[in-house]
Amino acid sequence: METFSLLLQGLQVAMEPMNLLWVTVGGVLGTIIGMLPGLGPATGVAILLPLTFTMGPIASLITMAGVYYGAMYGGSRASILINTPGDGAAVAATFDGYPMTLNGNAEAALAISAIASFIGGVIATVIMVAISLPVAKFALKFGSAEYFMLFLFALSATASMSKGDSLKGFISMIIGLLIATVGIDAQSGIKRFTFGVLELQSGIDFLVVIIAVYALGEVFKSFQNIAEGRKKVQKKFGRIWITKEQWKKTFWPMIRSAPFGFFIGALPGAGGTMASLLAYNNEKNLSKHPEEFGKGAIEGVAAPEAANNAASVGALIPMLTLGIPGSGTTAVMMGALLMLGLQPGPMLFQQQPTIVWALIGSMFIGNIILAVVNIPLAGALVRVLSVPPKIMYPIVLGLAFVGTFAISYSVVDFYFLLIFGVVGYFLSAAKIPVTPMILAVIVGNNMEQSFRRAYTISDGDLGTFFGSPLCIILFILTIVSIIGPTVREFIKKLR
Amino acid sequence: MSITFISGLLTFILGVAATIGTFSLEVASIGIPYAPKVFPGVLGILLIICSIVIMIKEIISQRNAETRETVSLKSPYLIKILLTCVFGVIYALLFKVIGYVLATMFFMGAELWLFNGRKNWKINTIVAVAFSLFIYIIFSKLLGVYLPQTPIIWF
Repeated sequence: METFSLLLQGLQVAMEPMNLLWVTVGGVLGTIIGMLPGLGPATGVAILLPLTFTMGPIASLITMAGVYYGAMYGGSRASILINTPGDGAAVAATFDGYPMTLNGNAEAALAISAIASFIGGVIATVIMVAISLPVAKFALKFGSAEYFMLFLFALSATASMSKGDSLKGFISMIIGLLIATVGIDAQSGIKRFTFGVLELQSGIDFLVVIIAVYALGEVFKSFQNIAEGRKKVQKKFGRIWITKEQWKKTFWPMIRSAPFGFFIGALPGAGGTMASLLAYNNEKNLSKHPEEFGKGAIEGVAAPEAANNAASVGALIPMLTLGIPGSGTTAVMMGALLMLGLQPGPMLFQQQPTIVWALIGSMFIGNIILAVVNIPLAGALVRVLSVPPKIMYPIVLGLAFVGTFAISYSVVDFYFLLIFGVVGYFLSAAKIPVTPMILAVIVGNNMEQSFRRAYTISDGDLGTFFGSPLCIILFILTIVSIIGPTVREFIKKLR
Repeated sequence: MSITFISGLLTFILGVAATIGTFSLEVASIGIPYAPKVFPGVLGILLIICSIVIMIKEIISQRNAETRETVSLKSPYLIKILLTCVFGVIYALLFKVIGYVLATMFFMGAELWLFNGRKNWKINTIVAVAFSLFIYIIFSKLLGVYLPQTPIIWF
């Protein structure tokens, strides 16, 4: 009952006219950014963050959530129409979405992707409402040692599950944690790795790192592939809707994929990409005519889209209730919360229930608004795809710089922006995943502080990190996540 | 050398630097004296281990591979990245001196020239001017975010 009344309050706040306006503005801007090739929700939230600097915490979070979902909707638009996914999570939408466009069914593909995203988002938000309070209450039992072990598990799971070589994921994670140690140590006042630079004393702002890696890094990458030319975009559409028969075909795949996507999204490191790919494969296996998949089967668009949006909601669970982001985008969202002076975690639900529940309420509203915006206005919005990337990328750069300046009104941050942009570019050139680094930069400080607190309380006894059953379980999970990929590879070789 | 090997080498150097840097830190005057060193020290050592493993793995796989992957530092897009950094530094230097609008017009113009070429200078100019004014008005006038003003001119 408590949950229900809190949710009602949240919905009330989210429906205030200004908040409705902000979620719509955020959603439309997010959709536009999400449609640009290579730019996904993480970049969208990162470069639009400064827009919210002067808003109150609720309006700011609601706008960010709008951008987040908008970018998810937008990403699949580009997948369906020009076969260029905005980010990993939209890749699955190209499998059948683009063939549908080629078959002249772009309208149905666009419609089902919006409908599936909506259904996925709403089902996931309902699950979130049901489990977030219990999870937050459970998390209150965590001491510093448990928290440290939880951070360790979340980071190593993200590192080892990242694409490609898991060792590279760990390198990325360690670099991120090292970046987080720069500055004056909060507990002892000692300057670490500041090299006498005054600006480094307060540490490297994680928002600068985020904007650098996601915006500049992507722009730098685009230099390489911008010459590939642009595909023609379909601009004239019939009625964007689906037939009754198509609805019947897609109904169960969507209902099945949503809760599935939610739980995958809530796991650290998994996220939207994995959820949508797994949902796609599931439907293909369950289908009576799997041979149609890849040739324009409408279920092949519906299932991954529902799973993808549900995963994006699921990923907010560990971020909000535990203070541990499970993906790049939620890491950026967490950055936004921290910037507003809100520390995500179990205490957030107790100290700032209005803000948390307004955010959850706005997810329902945001999904409705985005579905409304995306179905009838799809034809207008996709015109953005015909703006040449040669003009869009400089604009992204311009936004990245103004955003960086707005963080602390210091041009010194521009140098950090450039440095980390180059670092981000070289990491991806060397196929080192950047997500573990971003996650580590954001949670690094908290992770070290929980380590130090537990270490000091136990008077330097490392045994405290194995002192409770919960710690031991988390330790075992960490070990499993680290050796898991190696064991899997080994078994593969044996076969 | 393959890019993986180079990245391994660079992270190795970073790991060594972090470890040495950690040992030369002061000791804390409150609490456990070496506490501020534990976390970065462990990270430095872990980074050294990971980078050594990755370099060894790469050497083995390169030996087995038929074609060797190499990197050339002369590719045209690396020059563009370098130029973007140079423009960024100039942008930073000009930002507070000549104000947001003028500095941004210069920066956007330069970047559009990089991306869109000199031939499209008309479009480039329009986009550069429109972007700087639009952002200035949105941020400074509507959202109340401080952006440096251009001297003499009204904004």
